[in-house]
Amino acid sequence: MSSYNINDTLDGIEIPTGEPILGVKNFSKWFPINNSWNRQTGWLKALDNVSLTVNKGEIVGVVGESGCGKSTLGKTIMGIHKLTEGSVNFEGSEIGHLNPSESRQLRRRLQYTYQDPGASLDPRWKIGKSLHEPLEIHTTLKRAEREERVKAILTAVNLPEAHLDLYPHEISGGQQRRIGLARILTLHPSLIVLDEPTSGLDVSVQATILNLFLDLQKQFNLTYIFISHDLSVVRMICDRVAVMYLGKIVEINETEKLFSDPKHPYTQSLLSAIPVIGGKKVTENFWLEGEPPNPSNLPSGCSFRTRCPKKTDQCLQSPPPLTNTDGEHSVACFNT
Amino acid sequence: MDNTLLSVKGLEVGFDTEQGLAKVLDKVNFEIMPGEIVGLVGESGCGKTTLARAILGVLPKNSARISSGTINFNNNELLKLSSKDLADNIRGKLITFIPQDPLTSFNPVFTIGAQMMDLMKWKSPDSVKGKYFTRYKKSRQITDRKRIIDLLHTVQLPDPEGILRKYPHEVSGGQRQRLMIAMALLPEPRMIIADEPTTALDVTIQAQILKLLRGVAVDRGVSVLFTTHDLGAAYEICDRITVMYAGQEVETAISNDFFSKPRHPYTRKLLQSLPNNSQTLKGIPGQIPALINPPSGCRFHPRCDEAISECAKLRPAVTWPKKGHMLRCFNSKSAPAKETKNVVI
Repeated sequence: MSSYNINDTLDGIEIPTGEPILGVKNFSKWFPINNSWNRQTGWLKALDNVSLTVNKGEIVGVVGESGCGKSTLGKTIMGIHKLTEGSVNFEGSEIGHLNPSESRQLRRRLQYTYQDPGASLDPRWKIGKSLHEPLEIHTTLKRAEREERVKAILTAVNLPEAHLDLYPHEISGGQQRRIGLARILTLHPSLIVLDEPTSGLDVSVQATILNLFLDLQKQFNLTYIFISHDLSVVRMICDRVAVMYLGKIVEINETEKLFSDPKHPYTQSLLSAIPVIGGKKVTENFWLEGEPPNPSNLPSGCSFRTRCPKKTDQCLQSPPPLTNTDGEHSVACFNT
Repeated sequence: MDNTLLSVKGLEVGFDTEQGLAKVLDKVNFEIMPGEIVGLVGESGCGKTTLARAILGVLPKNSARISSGTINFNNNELLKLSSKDLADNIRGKLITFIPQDPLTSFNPVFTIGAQMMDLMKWKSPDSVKGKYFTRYKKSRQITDRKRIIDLLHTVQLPDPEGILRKYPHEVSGGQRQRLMIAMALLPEPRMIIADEPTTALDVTIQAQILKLLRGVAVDRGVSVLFTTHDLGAAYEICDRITVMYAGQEVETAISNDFFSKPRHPYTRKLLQSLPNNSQTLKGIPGQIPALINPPSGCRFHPRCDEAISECAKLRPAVTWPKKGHMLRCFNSKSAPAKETKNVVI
């Protein structure tokens, strides 16, 4: 599509497809809870002992209800939140505890797209300026060279060049997403964390945006972490899916296997909650009751036990570890 | 038909903007029978909310222009009623509303109980009409409070007494939406307008709320106008579905027919753009037209593959390819109904 040269000065170490590009180990992010006198009264365990590996060229989905720590996972990997415990390995180097200038270097290769692209574009800047900004910060390219690159990336995301002279409010939500993506792609990242990339879009626009993600992945050899609460979208485009519940990964498997044979009771209920057009109606046979407990005051043992139909005495005592059952499949439940 | 609860005929609504009049609803016809759950689906900006607001009579007075049409509800002509009549007898009493975002619909500085009692003071089935300075008698307060508690049990809220003492921010999103459903049911209405009631909720909570909404509506014989952009949610609870595109209704069908035999090109494209198992996801190329200067004739024709020359000249007339299946397309005969595959997941 474009005459975009992938091997340029910005590239770091190329990880071959299929090798681990990102490794997260015993990852925890706890937020302090303070009372009215600013004295700490406890911890909100947004992420608790999460381990995850992402391979080059893969799309890994992270799903769960709101408040389960999906976005915190993405942001902590990026270094936007400082991690409490654990390690992150990206392209062969440890990035968990970098200082600001080191992490700036890293951000060329590891990028994050925010949930609301309209809010992350400066309303007083023209689109063109927003697209130039990352190149100004991270590269020493001359203005003409930057111009060329911005134009090339704009064709890659299927937007006309005339858009460079528009303001963010003048373009539609779907186009704002494209701009958000274009901004990131100018730097040739190898891993992109997509945080709810299709929320707030109509289905017809969502379909075109998802196709764009898949095209760009092939074109630029990208790896995605796809954070979403929309399971049907995740099923469509992800290779592997991790299901999160209250700061923990409860099940992870290859997409098709996870959707056809979910093992964890939470995954089962999550999948049965999706409306299936032409299938059985969810409203007639949905069994999960109640709502997730308060994350600052988690139940003892397994955090799902308050809503779980299969709970036993063992679930009360200790949280079930995430154990590998076969191949790519891991599940955190005593009763599978 | 005589037993129609709500019938909207030829409704034309526009909004004054700096660029001119935005023609948001273009001669919309729409009907709801008693006890029926009707889905109104379409992409954002297609006029779903405007239609719902026109029925409630809460369009912004300074910019909205209703140029023609009638809204007949329960043998009352709503557009001809005075705003006082509408507020006293219809809105909040016979027609109630469930909002998209329950948090902003509650007042943050009063307890939930206080707000529900306030509603009951004016809108309870026993409230006296028109007398604004009558005292809220203790005896009425007691029966109304009992009614509230009963209904909170019906919507499966744990500890109703405790919830009434709480402030809106102290309960979760799902519980707030249950409270909204309870508040919509308290005046014992004939019809509820639910404006995207589950978009802000997670799937598991959405499933619970949809189940509840369908349950209470069927139990009480209340009609529901359910506007949504989520076809899956519409499939779950609707008896009949109307699709709107850019301010024109294009197809109405019984839920099963709608999903298995969609006839309008726009409906078919909308269903194809849902995520499914086959790896070919089709969006709809192009964008929703600007409503200041909308395309002539059928507003979908610039994006339609099957458009013929007539489409640009005239808006297609209402045709009934099957009983209960309304279609506004010139091509209904040349393009026979296609069976679409079941969308798995």
